[in-house]
Amino acid sequence: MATVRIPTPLRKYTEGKDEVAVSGANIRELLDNLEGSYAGIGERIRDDKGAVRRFVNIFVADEDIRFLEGLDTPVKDADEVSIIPAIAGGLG
Amino acid sequence: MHASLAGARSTGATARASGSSAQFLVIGAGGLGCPALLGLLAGGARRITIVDDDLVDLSNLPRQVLFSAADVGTHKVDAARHALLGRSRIEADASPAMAITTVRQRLVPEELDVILNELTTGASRPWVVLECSDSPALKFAVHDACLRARLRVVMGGVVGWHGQAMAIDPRQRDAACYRCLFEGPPPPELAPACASVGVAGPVAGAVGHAMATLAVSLANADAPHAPSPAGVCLHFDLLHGSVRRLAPKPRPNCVTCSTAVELHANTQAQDR
Repeated sequence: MATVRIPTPLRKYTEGKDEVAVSGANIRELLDNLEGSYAGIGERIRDDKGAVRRFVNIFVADEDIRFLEGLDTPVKDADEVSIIPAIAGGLG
Repeated sequence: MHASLAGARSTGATARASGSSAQFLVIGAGGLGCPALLGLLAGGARRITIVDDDLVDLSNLPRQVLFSAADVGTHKVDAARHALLGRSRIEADASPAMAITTVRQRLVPEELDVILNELTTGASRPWVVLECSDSPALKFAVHDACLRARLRVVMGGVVGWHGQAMAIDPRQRDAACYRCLFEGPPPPELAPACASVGVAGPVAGAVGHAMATLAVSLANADAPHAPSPAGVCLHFDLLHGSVRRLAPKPRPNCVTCSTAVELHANTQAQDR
Protein backbone atom coordinates (compact mmCIF):
# COMPACT_ATOMS: atom_id res chain seq x y z
CA MET A 1 0.00 0.00 0.00
CA ALA A 2 1.14 3.54 -0.70
CA THR A 3 1.54 6.10 2.03
CA VAL A 4 -0.75 9.10 1.61
CA ARG A 5 0.22 12.31 3.38
CA ILE A 6 -2.86 14.12 4.62
CA PRO A 7 -2.79 17.93 4.86
CA THR A 8 -3.96 19.61 8.04
CA PRO A 9 -7.40 20.73 6.78
CA LEU A 10 -8.33 17.16 5.80
CA ARG A 11 -7.24 15.39 8.96
CA LYS A 12 -10.67 15.72 10.49
CA TYR A 13 -11.67 12.99 8.03
CA THR A 14 -8.79 10.69 8.95
CA GLU A 15 -9.27 10.73 12.71
CA GLY A 16 -6.40 13.18 12.98
CA LYS A 17 -3.92 10.93 11.19
CA ASP A 18 -1.33 12.81 9.17
CA GLU A 19 -0.59 9.84 6.96
CA VAL A 20 -2.54 6.75 6.03
CA ALA A 21 -1.78 3.60 4.04
CA VAL A 22 -4.03 3.16 1.01
CA SER A 23 -4.01 0.67 -1.82
CA GLY A 24 -4.67 1.40 -5.48
CA ALA A 25 -3.01 0.70 -8.80
CA ASN A 26 -3.31 4.33 -9.80
CA ILE A 27 -4.29 7.66 -8.27
CA ARG A 28 -7.95 7.28 -9.23
CA GLU A 29 -8.20 3.94 -7.44
CA LEU A 30 -6.21 5.23 -4.50
CA LEU A 31 -8.56 8.20 -4.06
CA ASP A 32 -11.58 5.92 -4.36
CA ASN A 33 -10.17 3.68 -1.64
CA LEU A 34 -9.25 6.69 0.49
CA GLU A 35 -12.88 7.81 0.36
CA GLY A 36 -13.96 4.24 1.16
CA SER A 37 -11.91 4.28 4.35
CA TYR A 38 -12.49 7.89 5.32
CA ALA A 39 -15.90 9.04 4.17
CA GLY A 40 -16.13 12.66 3.13
CA ILE A 41 -12.51 13.23 2.26
CA GLY A 42 -12.99 12.47 -1.41
CA GLU A 43 -15.19 15.45 -2.18
CA ARG A 44 -12.59 17.75 -0.68
CA ILE A 45 -10.06 16.49 -3.22
CA ARG A 46 -12.16 15.90 -6.34
CA ASP A 47 -15.15 17.78 -7.71
CA ASP A 48 -18.48 16.25 -8.69
CA LYS A 49 -17.08 15.32 -12.10
CA GLY A 50 -14.25 13.39 -10.52
CA ALA A 51 -11.51 15.86 -11.47
CA VAL A 52 -8.93 16.99 -8.94
CA ARG A 53 -10.06 20.34 -7.58
CA ARG A 54 -8.38 23.46 -8.89
CA PHE A 55 -6.76 24.35 -5.56
CA VAL A 56 -5.38 20.88 -4.91
CA ASN A 57 -2.26 19.21 -6.26
CA ILE A 58 -1.30 15.59 -5.93
CA PHE A 59 2.31 14.52 -6.01
CA VAL A 60 3.63 11.00 -6.37
CA ALA A 61 7.20 10.81 -5.17
CA ASP A 62 7.65 14.57 -5.72
CA GLU A 63 6.18 14.49 -9.23
CA ASP A 64 3.04 16.48 -10.01
CA ILE A 65 0.48 14.03 -11.46
CA ARG A 66 -0.65 16.67 -13.97
CA PHE A 67 2.69 16.18 -15.67
CA LEU A 68 2.50 12.40 -15.39
CA GLU A 69 -0.72 10.64 -16.32
CA GLY A 70 -3.14 12.58 -14.16
CA LEU A 71 -5.55 10.37 -12.24
CA ASP A 72 -4.25 7.39 -14.23
CA THR A 73 -0.74 7.86 -12.83
CA PRO A 74 0.41 4.45 -11.57
CA VAL A 75 1.12 4.04 -7.87
CA LYS A 76 3.55 1.54 -6.41
CA ASP A 77 3.42 0.15 -2.90
CA ALA A 78 6.46 2.08 -1.74
CA ASP A 79 5.27 5.39 -3.16
CA GLU A 80 4.49 8.39 -1.04
CA VAL A 81 1.50 10.31 -2.30
CA SER A 82 1.10 13.89 -1.10
CA ILE A 83 -2.12 15.86 -1.27
CA ILE A 84 -1.16 19.52 -1.31
CA PRO A 85 -3.88 22.17 -1.24
CA ALA A 86 -3.29 25.88 -1.63
CA ILE A 87 -2.75 27.22 1.87
CA ALA A 88 -4.32 30.59 2.36
CA GLY A 89 -4.02 31.44 6.04
CA GLY A 90 -1.59 34.03 7.26
CA LEU A 91 -3.04 37.04 8.95
CA GLY A 92 -4.50 35.64 12.11
CA MET B 1 36.32 38.31 18.32
CA HIS B 2 35.55 34.64 18.04
CA ALA B 3 36.31 33.41 14.53
CA SER B 4 32.90 31.86 13.91
CA LEU B 5 31.11 35.02 15.03
CA ALA B 6 33.30 37.10 12.73
CA GLY B 7 32.38 34.79 9.88
CA ALA B 8 28.69 35.04 10.68
CA ARG B 9 28.89 38.83 10.73
CA SER B 10 30.67 38.84 7.42
CA THR B 11 27.96 36.66 5.87
CA GLY B 12 25.30 38.88 7.40
CA ALA B 13 26.84 41.99 5.93
CA THR B 14 26.73 40.44 2.48
CA ALA B 15 23.10 39.49 2.91
CA ARG B 16 22.15 42.92 4.24
CA ALA B 17 23.73 44.63 1.30
CA SER B 18 21.71 42.45 -1.03
CA GLY B 19 18.31 43.51 0.31
CA SER B 20 18.95 47.22 0.16
CA SER B 21 18.47 47.64 -3.56
CA ALA B 22 14.75 46.95 -3.70
CA GLN B 23 11.44 48.26 -2.41
CA PHE B 24 9.33 45.67 -0.64
CA LEU B 25 5.56 45.75 -0.31
CA VAL B 26 4.18 43.61 2.50
CA ILE B 27 0.43 42.97 2.32
CA GLY B 28 -0.82 41.95 5.75
CA ALA B 29 0.97 42.61 9.04
CA GLY B 30 -0.24 39.55 10.91
CA GLY B 31 1.02 36.06 11.63
CA LEU B 32 3.02 35.88 8.39
CA GLY B 33 3.64 39.57 7.86
CA CYS B 34 5.37 40.13 11.21
CA PRO B 35 8.08 37.48 10.73
CA ALA B 36 8.37 38.41 7.06
CA LEU B 37 9.07 42.02 8.04
CA LEU B 38 11.68 40.92 10.55
CA GLY B 39 13.21 38.72 7.87
CA LEU B 40 13.35 41.61 5.42
CA LEU B 41 15.04 43.77 8.04
CA ALA B 42 17.56 41.02 8.72
CA GLY B 43 18.08 40.68 4.98
CA GLY B 44 19.06 44.31 4.63
CA ALA B 45 15.83 45.79 3.29
CA ARG B 46 15.82 49.54 3.71
CA ARG B 47 12.57 50.48 1.96
CA ILE B 48 9.38 48.73 3.02
CA THR B 49 5.72 49.55 2.53
CA ILE B 50 3.22 47.82 4.81
CA VAL B 51 -0.48 47.52 4.02
CA ASP B 52 -3.08 46.49 6.60
CA ASP B 53 -6.24 48.01 8.05
CA ASP B 54 -6.42 45.96 11.22
CA LEU B 55 -5.79 46.93 14.83
CA VAL B 56 -3.56 45.02 17.22
CA ASP B 57 -5.60 42.72 19.44
CA LEU B 58 -4.45 41.07 22.64
CA SER B 59 -4.95 37.67 21.04
CA ASN B 60 -2.44 38.58 18.32
CA LEU B 61 0.53 38.94 20.62
CA PRO B 62 1.78 35.35 20.91
CA ARG B 63 2.18 34.92 17.14
CA GLN B 64 2.49 38.43 15.77
CA VAL B 65 5.90 39.03 17.22
CA LEU B 66 6.36 42.68 16.30
CA PHE B 67 3.64 43.75 18.72
CA SER B 68 3.58 44.18 22.47
CA ALA B 69 0.79 44.76 24.98
CA ALA B 70 1.34 48.51 24.65
CA ASP B 71 0.32 48.28 20.98
CA VAL B 72 -3.13 46.82 21.62
CA GLY B 73 -5.74 49.00 19.94
CA THR B 74 -3.30 50.74 17.61
CA HIS B 75 -3.04 50.17 13.89
CA LYS B 76 -0.87 47.19 13.04
CA VAL B 77 0.97 49.08 10.32
CA ASP B 78 1.95 51.82 12.78
CA ALA B 79 3.01 49.39 15.49
CA ALA B 80 5.00 47.36 12.97
CA ARG B 81 6.70 50.45 11.60
CA HIS B 82 7.60 51.61 15.11
CA ALA B 83 9.04 48.20 16.01
CA LEU B 84 11.08 47.95 12.81
CA LEU B 85 12.47 51.46 13.12
CA GLY B 86 13.41 50.73 16.71
CA ARG B 87 15.40 47.71 15.59
CA SER B 88 17.00 49.55 12.68
CA ARG B 89 18.39 52.21 15.02
CA ILE B 90 20.84 49.57 16.13
CA GLU B 91 22.43 50.20 12.76
CA ALA B 92 22.29 53.97 12.97
CA ASP B 93 25.22 54.34 10.61
CA ALA B 94 23.60 52.17 7.95
CA SER B 95 23.13 53.68 4.55
CA PRO B 96 20.64 54.24 3.07
CA ALA B 97 18.47 55.14 6.02
CA MET B 98 15.47 52.98 6.81
CA ALA B 99 12.28 54.16 5.09
CA ILE B 100 9.04 52.47 6.10
CA THR B 101 5.75 53.71 4.72
CA THR B 102 2.34 52.51 5.82
CA VAL B 103 -1.02 52.17 4.15
CA ARG B 104 -4.03 51.76 6.43
CA GLN B 105 -6.32 50.12 3.97
CA ARG B 106 -8.20 46.90 3.49
CA LEU B 107 -7.30 45.74 0.02
CA VAL B 108 -10.02 44.51 -2.25
CA PRO B 109 -9.36 42.73 -5.53
CA GLU B 110 -11.08 45.39 -7.65
CA GLU B 111 -8.67 48.11 -6.50
CA LEU B 112 -5.39 46.22 -6.72
CA ASP B 113 -4.38 47.32 -10.19
CA VAL B 114 -4.81 50.99 -9.28
CA ILE B 115 -3.02 50.66 -5.95
CA LEU B 116 -0.07 48.75 -7.37
CA ASN B 117 0.17 51.24 -10.20
CA GLU B 118 0.15 54.21 -7.81
CA LEU B 119 2.80 52.64 -5.61
CA THR B 120 5.20 51.38 -8.22
CA THR B 121 4.96 53.61 -11.29
CA GLY B 122 8.17 55.47 -11.89
CA ALA B 123 10.05 53.55 -9.25
CA SER B 124 13.78 53.58 -9.76
CA ARG B 125 14.29 50.25 -8.05
CA PRO B 126 12.57 46.89 -8.34
CA TRP B 127 9.51 46.19 -6.23
CA VAL B 128 8.94 42.84 -4.63
CA VAL B 129 5.52 42.09 -3.13
CA LEU B 130 5.01 39.73 -0.19
CA GLU B 131 1.43 38.42 0.03
CA CYS B 132 0.76 37.76 3.72
CA SER B 133 -3.04 38.08 3.92
CA ASP B 134 -5.33 35.23 4.91
CA SER B 135 -8.02 35.64 2.28
CA PRO B 136 -7.79 33.02 -0.48
CA ALA B 137 -9.57 35.27 -2.97
CA LEU B 138 -7.31 38.22 -2.17
CA LYS B 139 -4.19 36.07 -2.38
CA PHE B 140 -4.98 34.97 -5.90
CA ALA B 141 -6.05 38.50 -6.86
CA VAL B 142 -2.78 39.97 -5.58
CA HIS B 143 -0.85 37.34 -7.51
CA ASP B 144 -2.72 38.08 -10.72
CA ALA B 145 -2.38 41.84 -10.30
CA CYS B 146 1.36 41.50 -9.71
CA LEU B 147 1.75 39.49 -12.90
CA ARG B 148 -0.23 42.07 -14.85
CA ALA B 149 2.05 44.77 -13.42
CA ARG B 150 5.16 42.67 -14.04
CA LEU B 151 6.02 42.71 -10.33
CA ARG B 152 7.88 39.98 -8.55
CA VAL B 153 5.78 38.47 -5.78
CA VAL B 154 6.18 35.94 -2.98
CA MET B 155 3.05 34.08 -1.98
CA GLY B 156 2.71 32.69 1.52
CA GLY B 157 0.22 30.72 3.55
CA VAL B 158 0.09 28.84 6.81
CA VAL B 159 -2.41 26.57 8.51
CA GLY B 160 -1.86 24.13 11.33
CA TRP B 161 1.66 22.75 11.00
CA HIS B 162 1.73 23.33 7.25
CA GLY B 163 2.85 26.33 5.25
CA GLN B 164 3.86 27.38 1.78
CA ALA B 165 6.06 30.07 0.32
CA MET B 166 6.40 30.51 -3.42
CA ALA B 167 8.48 32.98 -5.44
CA ILE B 168 7.12 34.25 -8.74
CA ASP B 169 8.88 36.42 -11.29
CA PRO B 170 6.67 37.27 -14.29
CA ARG B 171 9.74 38.12 -16.34
CA GLN B 172 10.88 34.51 -16.22
CA ARG B 173 8.81 32.58 -18.74
CA ASP B 174 10.44 29.30 -17.81
CA ALA B 175 9.34 29.55 -14.16
CA ALA B 176 5.88 28.59 -12.94
CA CYS B 177 3.50 31.10 -11.40
CA TYR B 178 1.17 30.42 -8.47
CA ARG B 179 -1.70 29.57 -10.79
CA CYS B 180 0.49 27.09 -12.63
CA LEU B 181 0.56 25.23 -9.32
CA PHE B 182 -2.93 26.03 -8.03
CA GLU B 183 -5.40 26.97 -10.73
CA GLY B 184 -7.82 28.81 -8.46
CA PRO B 185 -8.59 29.63 -4.83
CA PRO B 186 -10.54 27.24 -2.67
CA PRO B 187 -14.15 28.25 -2.11
CA PRO B 188 -14.81 29.72 1.34
CA GLU B 189 -16.53 26.56 2.57
CA LEU B 190 -13.40 24.54 1.77
CA ALA B 191 -10.82 27.04 2.99
CA PRO B 192 -10.49 26.66 6.73
CA ALA B 193 -9.74 29.88 8.58
CA CYS B 194 -6.75 30.02 10.89
CA ALA B 195 -9.19 30.54 13.76
CA SER B 196 -10.94 27.24 13.10
CA VAL B 197 -7.95 25.03 12.29
CA GLY B 198 -5.33 26.86 14.29
CA VAL B 199 -1.78 27.77 13.40
CA ALA B 200 1.38 26.57 15.07
CA GLY B 201 3.05 29.89 15.83
CA PRO B 202 6.59 28.78 15.00
CA VAL B 203 5.38 27.57 11.60
CA ALA B 204 4.13 31.07 10.81
CA GLY B 205 7.53 32.37 11.86
CA ALA B 206 9.38 29.90 9.66
CA VAL B 207 7.19 30.57 6.63
CA GLY B 208 7.35 34.34 7.10
CA HIS B 209 11.13 34.28 7.23
CA ALA B 210 11.24 31.98 4.21
CA MET B 211 9.07 34.50 2.34
CA ALA B 212 11.50 37.27 3.22
CA THR B 213 14.43 35.18 2.08
CA LEU B 214 12.77 34.43 -1.24
CA ALA B 215 11.86 38.11 -1.64
CA VAL B 216 15.42 39.28 -1.08
CA SER B 217 16.65 36.63 -3.47
CA LEU B 218 14.12 37.71 -6.11
CA ALA B 219 15.24 41.30 -5.65
CA ASN B 220 18.76 40.29 -6.52
CA ALA B 221 17.91 38.12 -9.49
CA ASP B 222 18.80 40.94 -11.91
CA ALA B 223 22.50 40.65 -11.25
CA PRO B 224 24.43 38.81 -13.96
CA HIS B 225 24.48 35.06 -13.36
CA ALA B 226 22.47 35.50 -10.17
CA PRO B 227 20.42 32.48 -9.19
CA SER B 228 16.68 33.02 -8.90
CA PRO B 229 14.15 31.20 -6.73
CA ALA B 230 11.36 32.00 -9.21
CA GLY B 231 8.96 29.12 -9.68
CA VAL B 232 9.99 27.40 -6.46
CA CYS B 233 7.39 26.61 -3.81
CA LEU B 234 8.63 25.60 -0.39
CA HIS B 235 6.09 23.36 1.33
CA PHE B 236 6.51 23.11 5.08
CA ASP B 237 5.23 20.18 7.11
CA LEU B 238 6.95 20.98 10.37
CA LEU B 239 5.05 18.41 12.39
CA HIS B 240 7.26 15.96 10.50
CA GLY B 241 10.23 18.33 10.31
CA SER B 242 9.88 18.39 6.54
CA VAL B 243 10.45 21.19 4.07
CA ARG B 244 9.81 20.07 0.53
CA ARG B 245 10.98 22.03 -2.49
CA LEU B 246 8.37 21.92 -5.23
CA ALA B 247 9.44 23.25 -8.60
CA PRO B 248 6.35 22.82 -10.76
CA LYS B 249 6.67 23.23 -14.49
CA PRO B 250 4.85 26.17 -16.05
CA ARG B 251 1.40 24.93 -17.01
CA PRO B 252 1.00 25.30 -20.79
CA ASN B 253 -2.61 26.46 -20.55
CA CYS B 254 -2.15 28.72 -17.53
CA VAL B 255 -4.44 31.68 -18.20
CA THR B 256 -2.65 34.02 -15.82
CA CYS B 257 0.81 33.49 -17.27
CA SER B 258 -0.30 33.79 -20.87
CA THR B 259 -2.54 36.80 -20.19
CA ALA B 260 0.23 38.62 -18.37
CA VAL B 261 2.67 37.93 -21.17
CA GLU B 262 0.19 39.10 -23.82
CA LEU B 263 -0.70 42.18 -21.80
CA HIS B 264 2.94 43.12 -21.40
CA ALA B 265 3.70 42.47 -25.05
CA ASN B 266 0.83 44.74 -26.07
CA THR B 267 2.02 47.46 -23.68
CA GLN B 268 5.52 47.27 -25.07
CA ALA B 269 4.21 47.48 -28.61
CA GLN B 270 2.15 50.58 -27.74
CA ASP B 271 5.17 52.19 -26.10
CA ARG B 272 7.27 51.85 -29.23
